[in-house]
Amino acid sequence: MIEFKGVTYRAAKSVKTAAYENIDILCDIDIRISKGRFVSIIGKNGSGKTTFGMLIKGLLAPTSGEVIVDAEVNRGVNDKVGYIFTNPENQIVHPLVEDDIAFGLENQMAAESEMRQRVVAALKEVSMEAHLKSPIHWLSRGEQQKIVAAGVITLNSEVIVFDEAASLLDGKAKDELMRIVLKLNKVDEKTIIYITHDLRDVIFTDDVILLESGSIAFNGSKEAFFKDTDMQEKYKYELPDVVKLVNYFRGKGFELGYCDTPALIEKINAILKQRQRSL
Amino acid sequence: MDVNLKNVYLNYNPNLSSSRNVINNISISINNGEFVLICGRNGSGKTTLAQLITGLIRPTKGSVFFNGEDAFAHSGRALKKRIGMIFQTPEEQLFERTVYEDVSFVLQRDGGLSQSDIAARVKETLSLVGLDYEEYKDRLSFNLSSGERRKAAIACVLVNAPELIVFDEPTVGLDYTARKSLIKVIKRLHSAGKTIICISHNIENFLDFSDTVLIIKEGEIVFSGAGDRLLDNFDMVKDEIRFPDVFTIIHGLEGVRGGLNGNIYSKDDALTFLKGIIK
Repeated sequence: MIEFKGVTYRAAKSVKTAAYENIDILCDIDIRISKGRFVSIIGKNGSGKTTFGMLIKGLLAPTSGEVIVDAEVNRGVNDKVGYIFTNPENQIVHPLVEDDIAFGLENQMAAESEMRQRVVAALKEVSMEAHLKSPIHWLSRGEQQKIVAAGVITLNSEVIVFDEAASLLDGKAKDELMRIVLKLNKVDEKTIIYITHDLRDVIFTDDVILLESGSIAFNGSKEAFFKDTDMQEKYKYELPDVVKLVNYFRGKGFELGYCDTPALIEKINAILKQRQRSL
Repeated sequence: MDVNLKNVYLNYNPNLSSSRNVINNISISINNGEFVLICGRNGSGKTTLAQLITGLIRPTKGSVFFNGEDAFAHSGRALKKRIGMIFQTPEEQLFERTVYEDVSFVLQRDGGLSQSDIAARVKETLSLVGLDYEEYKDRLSFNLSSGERRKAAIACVLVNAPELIVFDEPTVGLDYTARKSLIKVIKRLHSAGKTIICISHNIENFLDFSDTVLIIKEGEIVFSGAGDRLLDNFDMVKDEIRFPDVFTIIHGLEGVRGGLNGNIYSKDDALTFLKGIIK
């Protein structure tokens, strides 16, 4: 379980050229995230999403309050938490793909043969097995993002923070990464914190936390979030087309549920078939 | 500016036997004032293609022409100045103290303009990207919001008044408001007669106003044509791009697909159509 108890994170920030002010990036946050939940964190640029994630990992220490992960107060970097940054260059440490993925395992003192096996398995998960021996700088940034994700996934952390980890991936690779994240969550029972600007990702998660200038503006199930269409104007976001569609169908008496596109197609086809039969 | 690529190949390590062609015999013509959207999977060669189009890298084989002049001959090289390339997350390249110093940097470096001329150019360019000159000129680059920093970085390229502008994943990492506003800036540049080349995975952001869509796969062009033709070729290109969800749904509906070819061009059309199902 992750718990924030009265957490404030303050940083000096200049507003105009000369004037520095202390600003609460996060302000008095109280929240509990149960073990095994899949939570999306959304909000505008600068609303505090990354700070929230970094506090869980212990990369930042709260100015006041406590962050508790798995019944222990965070003091320094927490090994139980995996973190995937937006920019892959932030966490690439080796020139070769296989060495980079193995880096975290080496720190965990994994045996060489086991390490090899896990590196290959991780690369297969992200469909990059052909690049085992490639220098990382030969890869595109999107491909580097996959390598970084593979490296963190091998560590088998209890909690994994994805900080816009799919932003540079193509549509198909995004879907693949989401399949992997769902497996980590549903099969391996990992707690997933998924920071994103793409509200289509929210469809796959359990809960939504919406941050607005350092405070929690919404914390609840994705169903409650998607049904509340009044927040869009206030917090400046747009619901995905598929959500609009599901909401519209509900208004007409058909409950499709918020699900991925293939499942949606199946459900609409079933409705079409039923209506044909009744004609 | 017209750009022509003739049988262009690119291999980053031609002397290495294991190395492959990142660009494999591509020929394209881009006309003055055209808006070209380049799509394809991670590692397919999009960024490399853009760098070839701008003359940043020399093809291993084949030729690049600007307005009919060889890009690497003396006459062509002068034209290169009229091309602007905006890389992925360009804000990482901001390095001066204030927005004004960053945007005016190339003008100061190249010389030949008076300080008042430079100020006028900076003012004009900032308004082009939607940043108010008086409000932003003395702001510290590093303390702008992500969307503002992205725009300031784009202004650094636009200040040179390029005729052809390449955007490599321009909206990555931006929230809804910043994304919408940046798309408007790009649209405005296109309406002002600039030739625009845009690389993006989020085709729905740009499909509506692209003249040409190029889809590349493993260094080869597998689709080249108008955006509305893309939908008629769903099966052919569905593995290379992620269609907007509403298109995918329509395509998956039984007994519907055949009847709508050529009738649905935009996402709004598609959503309206789907809502009509349960009339």
